Amino acid sequence: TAGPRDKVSAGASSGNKSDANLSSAEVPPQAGKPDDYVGNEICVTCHADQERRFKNTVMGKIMANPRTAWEARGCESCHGPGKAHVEAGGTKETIPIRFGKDSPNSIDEQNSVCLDCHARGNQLFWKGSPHESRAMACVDCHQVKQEIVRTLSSETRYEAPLTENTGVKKPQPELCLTCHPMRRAQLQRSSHMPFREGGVTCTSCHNPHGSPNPKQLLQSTANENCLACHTERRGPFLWEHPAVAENCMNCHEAHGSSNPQLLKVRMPRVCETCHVASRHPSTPQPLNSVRNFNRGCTNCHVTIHGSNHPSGNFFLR
Amino acid sequence: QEQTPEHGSVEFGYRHIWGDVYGRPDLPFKPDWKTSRFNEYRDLKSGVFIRDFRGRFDNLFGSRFYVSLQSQKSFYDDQSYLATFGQYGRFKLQFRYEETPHIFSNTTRTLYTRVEPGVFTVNPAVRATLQATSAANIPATSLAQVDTMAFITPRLKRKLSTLLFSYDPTPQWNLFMQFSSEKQVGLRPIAFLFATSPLASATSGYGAEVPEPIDYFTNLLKIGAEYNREGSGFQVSYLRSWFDNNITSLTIDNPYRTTDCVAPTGCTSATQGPATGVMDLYPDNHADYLTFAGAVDLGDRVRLMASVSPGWLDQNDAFLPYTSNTLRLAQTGPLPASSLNGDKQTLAMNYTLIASPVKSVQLKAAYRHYDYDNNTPILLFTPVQGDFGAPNLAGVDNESRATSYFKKNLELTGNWYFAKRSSLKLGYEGEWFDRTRRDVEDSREDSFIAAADLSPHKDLLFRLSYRHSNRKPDHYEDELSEGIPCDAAELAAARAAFEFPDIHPCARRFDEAARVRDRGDILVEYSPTDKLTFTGTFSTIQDDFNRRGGTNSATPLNFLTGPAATLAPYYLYGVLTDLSYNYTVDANYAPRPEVSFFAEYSHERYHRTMTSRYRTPESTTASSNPNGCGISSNGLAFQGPCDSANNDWYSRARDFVDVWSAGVDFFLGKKVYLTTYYSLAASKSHIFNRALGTQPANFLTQPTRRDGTDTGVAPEDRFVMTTTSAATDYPMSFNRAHEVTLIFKYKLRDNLMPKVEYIYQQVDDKDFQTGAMTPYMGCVATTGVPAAGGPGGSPSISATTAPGCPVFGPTPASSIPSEFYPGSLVGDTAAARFFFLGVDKPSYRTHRVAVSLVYTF
Repeated sequence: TAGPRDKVSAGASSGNKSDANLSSAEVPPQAGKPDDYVGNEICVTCHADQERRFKNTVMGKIMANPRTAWEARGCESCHGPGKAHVEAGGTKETIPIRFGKDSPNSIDEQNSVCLDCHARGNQLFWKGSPHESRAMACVDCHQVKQEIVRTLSSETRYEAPLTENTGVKKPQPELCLTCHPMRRAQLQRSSHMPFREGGVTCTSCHNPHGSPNPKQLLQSTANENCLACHTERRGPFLWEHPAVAENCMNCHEAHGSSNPQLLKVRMPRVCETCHVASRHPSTPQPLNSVRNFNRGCTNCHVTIHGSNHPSGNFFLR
Repeated sequence: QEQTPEHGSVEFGYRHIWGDVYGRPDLPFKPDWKTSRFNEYRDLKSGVFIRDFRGRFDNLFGSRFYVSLQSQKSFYDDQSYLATFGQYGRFKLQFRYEETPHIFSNTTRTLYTRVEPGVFTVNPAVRATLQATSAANIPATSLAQVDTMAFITPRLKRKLSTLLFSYDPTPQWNLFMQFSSEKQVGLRPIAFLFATSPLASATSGYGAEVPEPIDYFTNLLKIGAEYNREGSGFQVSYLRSWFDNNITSLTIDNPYRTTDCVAPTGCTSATQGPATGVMDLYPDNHADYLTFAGAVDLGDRVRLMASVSPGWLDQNDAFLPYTSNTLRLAQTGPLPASSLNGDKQTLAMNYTLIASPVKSVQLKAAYRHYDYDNNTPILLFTPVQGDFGAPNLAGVDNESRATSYFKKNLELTGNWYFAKRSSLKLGYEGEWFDRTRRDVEDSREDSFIAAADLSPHKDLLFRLSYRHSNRKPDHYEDELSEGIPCDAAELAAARAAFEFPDIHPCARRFDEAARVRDRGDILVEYSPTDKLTFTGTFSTIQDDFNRRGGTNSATPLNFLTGPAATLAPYYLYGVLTDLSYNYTVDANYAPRPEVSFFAEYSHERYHRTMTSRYRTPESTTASSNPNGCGISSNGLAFQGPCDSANNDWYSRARDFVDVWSAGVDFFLGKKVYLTTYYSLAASKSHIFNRALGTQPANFLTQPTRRDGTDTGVAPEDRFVMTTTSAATDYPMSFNRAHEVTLIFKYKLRDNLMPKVEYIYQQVDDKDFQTGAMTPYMGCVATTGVPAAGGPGGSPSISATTAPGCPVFGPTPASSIPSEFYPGSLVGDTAAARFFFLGVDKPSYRTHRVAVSLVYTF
């Protein structure tokens, strides 16, 4: 597919003084046409404000000491060679690569620029991921020329774990909730994990850049994801509850629930949907039953996630 | 002019919080708002605070190194810190420390005192008193103990420390190492039953809810390397995680017995039991995972991605004895092993091929494979449940369980990008599930996917998607259904032969059963100008399990006709349908750069329906099963299993959630920041239940059976869902969380901003399961409870009057309500010898005023 380099003229050197210190192995393979690059010094004559903001970002600080010829091109490493732009007197249309909704470049072209440097780590499985295949642009979530600026309401409404990732438009979870508003509603439920309080956030479980796992989870399955924090429930146990071992989501709704313990349906119904057995499991249970109030079935079947007790075959101990 | 770079900022100040907890007038104390749901996962209280600190110092001492320091909520129980030292693009050494509290309740009291980390005792005098109390007086005597109980706040705290080192020796290589250690300490409610059935009545069994001591330690080590070059990348990592529980067992006193005793020596069958109970807490375990992942471009248009991750999990904690009752322990056989030697292996593999034959088309083929192989030994144990009855030494089927499964997924999809931000997607996904020792050994689910993104204008975007899935098990059989298939003729023959399997042959577990799922999602984004953004979404998931034939019954199970057939035909017991409908509307409007408004609304509806069958086992004597339905093979009338569709019942759970929020942000004159917003999250939950069978009008006054005065229902189909087995509606539960916020910030100087904030929060909560909880729930005393005509057409239950228990007034609408909470429960005679903690999270309201200073440096 077409990448930014289809439009970026090849050039061995941007004319940046740092290039001289780079080994040939670090020079981008498609470098060429050095004359098309004007160098950062020319860019900042008109774009001093952007340059001032950019150099205070992590990316700006990396590029201040470039490791590759690509990084050494500064503005032009992302926006493409600026010669035509300079010669045209600075019109937008002459910028080879522009980002955002108004860009004439395709989403793929825009993303390819980012992926030139950011294809590894969490982005290894970006291609074909749900966000990529729905034509999400990197700049839909990320911003480059400045670090995050929060509104006053945002500061109070959402909390998130401390992070060094400040190159996003909004902090988590607010950023993800922009397109996933239903999750925002779920986070407001009475039974929830500490999302609102900033104990966990979306990327505690999901990788928005794509993963080989279902639902873009960090771990191979939903259970491995849950058990990464709830390690005590990992087992193996002497008496395993098969529905638990297979999928925590059979009973729980991780994003928030109106029922206690993040249950999809409150006790005793959550158990009774599967256990149409004789005696009490198939009894509707009146209001005042000890199998209904407090924690329902788990008033007695307390080790429902698994027991290691020789007498624990009914999860009573 | 060059602006002086900012290094960071700190916000500190003083806040005052006041509030109250309400909604529990029955409690003889006032729960504290500081330990209410307000602070469920946080630590907000009056006093000086440092809300956050952020500092970054580049080019340290003229070098290319930097240091970054961040903190949140310093010196409070939910504090966190992040310190990083590194060189941009070269290496990073990072230390993170986080604390997360979790408060479970602020209404808990207990008889127990912690004497050792895993040992809880009860005052011997109290135990002696309770042991000496007659069955009739147990409720009153137990209730009297509540006043002597000590207050506790069951709460946990997680303390997580993480050290990360990441090093890029070249732009292509990355090496990393992460070590984290989490300490989790505190108390969490847990119950203990000293017997199996019938629970903890005044004449059999005991129970106690106690604070479970938590002292967990989880360490994690992860090391890895990554190599990346143009068009390809490779990752390898190793992860080891080990969980240690410093308290391996929980020993608690039996409040009602001071010595182990087995009838008839020294006690009766009603007063026998153990002096203590011992529970096994979560055992130590270890997990190791290796992960290999890679991606490579195969030419210009094809990319192959793969990951392989094998895992090994083990656990080998020593077994506890069968029972703490020394007299019963002497009757058991030896344990088959001293520990489990549990061993599981997992293997996750993923292979994905992405091809773009032409620029506007993307094809994807993905295969995912997850093997969960449980190699834990299967052990045979002496059937001992609880500490009460004699072990069944002849039992041979008390076999431990180790289930395994193997899941394979195939995805084939194609995307056509026909315009910018516009695409069409079609695809197929298949899932093959292979299980061992479960009801369904093999199943396959086929899914067909269609999605479209349309952007007719750069300001307008539609995203639509639809998925239709059909899951088909090859065969469904629970081993406890004794091989009887879910077939009308076979069921009739089994009933005629008085076969009564533990699990009904037509019971279907929803996670394995045949299912048709339809899912639709719509998203609309509209930004006519930079000033206005509008987003709307709708989504629905519709699961239908009530499929005719296949592994379900081919004929309706509600075979009764006329009034009995009160529900549409159903072909299984279990979940019939599971439906959700959700929509949201968001709007952001910024008429001027210094003013922006936001408004959000979401509505969710969830419906889940199920059927079940109330089933009582076969009785050997007529008197022990007076509502018996069948004629036994020995010729005695009215015995045998009540396994009849006339005792089917139906339940419908409905949840509604509405969330509103609206607010405005002002930024005036580059000096004044002001925000105010209001949000309300309101949820309602209903559980409607009803019997589906025919209930004779005179069933309470007509105890005889087959006497000609009956309603014509065959004796084997007698309706027995009465009294404590009645299917009646549950009261509505609701939760409403209001928040009003007003924040003002003024830029006094370039680096100094005073801030004043006021936040009001109110949570109204009513939950019928916890809203009347007290430490003793065994008191059932009432007057004037009607004998019949309760909600849902089913009879109300008749209550037992216990001496010394509070007497509540007449209650036409529900069974035995609290005088404070109409429609809520009071207690259960089956919990006469059961002490609880009284866990509840009542409503609260709080006001928060904070004055702070934001200093930028």
